[in-house]
Amino acid sequence: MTLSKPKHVPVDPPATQAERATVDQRSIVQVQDLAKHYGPFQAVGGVTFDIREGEIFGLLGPNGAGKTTLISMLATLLAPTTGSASINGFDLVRDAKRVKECIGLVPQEIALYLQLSARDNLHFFGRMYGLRGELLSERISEALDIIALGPWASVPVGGYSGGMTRRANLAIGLLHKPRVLFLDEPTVGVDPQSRNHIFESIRKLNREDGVTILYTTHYMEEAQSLCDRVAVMDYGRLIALDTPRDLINRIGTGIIDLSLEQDGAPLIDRLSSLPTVERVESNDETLRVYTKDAQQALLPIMEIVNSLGMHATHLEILEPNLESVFLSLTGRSLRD
Amino acid sequence: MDLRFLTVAAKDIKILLRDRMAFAMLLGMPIMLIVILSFALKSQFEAGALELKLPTVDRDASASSDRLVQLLRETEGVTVDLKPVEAEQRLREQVRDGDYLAALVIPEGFAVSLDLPDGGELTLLVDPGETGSQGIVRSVVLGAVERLVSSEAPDPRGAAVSIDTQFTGASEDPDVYEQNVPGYAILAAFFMTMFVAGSILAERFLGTFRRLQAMPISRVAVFSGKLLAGFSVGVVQMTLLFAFGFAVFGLSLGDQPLGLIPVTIGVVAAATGLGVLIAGFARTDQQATAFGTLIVLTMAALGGSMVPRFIMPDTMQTIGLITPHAWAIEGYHDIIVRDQGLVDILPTFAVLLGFAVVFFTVGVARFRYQFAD
Repeated sequence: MTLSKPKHVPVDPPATQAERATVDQRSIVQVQDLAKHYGPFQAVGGVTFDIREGEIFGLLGPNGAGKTTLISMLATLLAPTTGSASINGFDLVRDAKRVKECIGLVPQEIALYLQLSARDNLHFFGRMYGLRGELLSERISEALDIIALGPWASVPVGGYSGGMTRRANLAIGLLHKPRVLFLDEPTVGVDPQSRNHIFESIRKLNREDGVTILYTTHYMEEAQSLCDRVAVMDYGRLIALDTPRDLINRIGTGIIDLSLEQDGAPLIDRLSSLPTVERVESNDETLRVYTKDAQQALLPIMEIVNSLGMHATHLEILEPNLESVFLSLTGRSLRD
Repeated sequence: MDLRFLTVAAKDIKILLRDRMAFAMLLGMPIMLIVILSFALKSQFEAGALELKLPTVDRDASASSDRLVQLLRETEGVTVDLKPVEAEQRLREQVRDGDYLAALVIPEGFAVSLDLPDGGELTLLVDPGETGSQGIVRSVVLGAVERLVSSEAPDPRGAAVSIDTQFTGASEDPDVYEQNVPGYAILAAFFMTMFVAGSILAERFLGTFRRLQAMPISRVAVFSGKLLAGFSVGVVQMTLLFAFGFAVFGLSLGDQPLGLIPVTIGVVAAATGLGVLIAGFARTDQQATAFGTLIVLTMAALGGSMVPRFIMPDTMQTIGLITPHAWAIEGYHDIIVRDQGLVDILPTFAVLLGFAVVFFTVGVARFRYQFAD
């Protein structure tokens, strides 16, 4: 496949975000040139951003983009190679213990004791957070209410469905009412019903308890519907950061996928010259046409195809969304 | 001090209690081995009882004592070797050293005492390490005495003969229960290493270590809790197995049973340390089980858990000392067979703790909290 060079849209400079933050809310997470290297491999390469208090902040990128490494550094699990970050005013490295007290982590894997029930798991991890007595019992009840496990709360987690396990996994991170909650791909492998339940839980936490949420995902629909702002990550770098709407408006393009009976190479120059077309990628009989407006570009494109005596076997229009933003920025799909 | 390690320990014990297979492994397996192998090997350990050599010192030198010796010689499977009076002290030493299972001393005035109302008394010298055979020897002697009395005394009521059983001191070799109960209890305690290693590796695989690492609790507290769980389970396991041996087989606990405590602590500490060592080298739970089984069974074979070290060639006995099992079994035998006490057992305790420290240190040095740290 011929790939055009990814367009890198400048991330909002921290100063601009800081200005917004002073107007709206304060920044509770501040990240400055944070990087993690494993020998020559750069898992995260010098990212800078901040997250406002009470915000649901999405980190969108394909598998391997560096999202989990970044979240691991912010959760004090990994030491950064360079750069710095603070959470609620505490430095990640110097004040790791204070940082741990105000964050919650819901890891991507199901980090639960499968032989124990959700209630037993909550009790154990609650004690690890230093909760005890009546306060612990109250928090366990609240967490169980949020994830709505009902009568299953006393059954060993090993007998739960995938969705129930994910919900129990989420509940552990809520027990101590963290100021900032890191959710690392919390809906992987979850049925739609449980996914909706998890979304509702997250919104409720954010809306009612004011918990700031950093949400990583490679599902653009989740980022688009849930997040106030989204940072797009690829190969360890932030390549865009804005509200989903602004990202789509600024970068999102209408994409037309066109399959032909013949080699599509002769079409590339003609299609690229159309004013509504931004660029064209070719993979033998398949063309991917990036347009400013797919509906508007469709007719001229088909006229050129017909004029060259070619026949389209398949045609698909992708409306602008975060998926097309990512495609436009990297030339690759989020699921590649 | 961060007491949350107690919560970690309680959680691990709760998980273990829900694992019936682990329970079967830790308690059912050693009990089954102790019972089956004790019955199977009993005759091997007590070979002398069927072919009883009974050296006898006759201080009375009377017709009655001559007749008693003759009656003993007529008893099937019994060989009486008459020793001179001055050889009694030497005979006591030989019984103590295990050269003889028992010896009989017929005291001076034995014939006269048969006519007295209180009757006569015989002295039976017994190796305390052969408690299982003691009853058989007494039966043999009492049988001969009954025949003597019934043939000589017109009124049997006035001719009672009692046997004064004297233990001659420590025996070097244990009987079948003294060998098998500690031996298989130690083997089972070391099988617990798989539980310790598996529990540590499971935390890593499940991602719960990662989750705990993001919480305000130290790694030391988490590890301490996990070790405490393994250690507590091991101590309870050893206690139950010794209690089983005591209740079912009448296992001797020695003159100073308190000495069993440091040996048990040392054994369980070494087993817990070995669990950390295995967790440090294994990448998966399956590897831990495979490594663990290999190491535990090899150590048990070399260290005398399965086959007594005293019947091994000298070279094998020396090689066996590289295992904590050999030291632990010797420690237990010092208490229950040789009647030693707390102070005598301290060097063995120190060696077992040394094993624990080495295993633990190497294991922790090798261990990675996460795979992608």
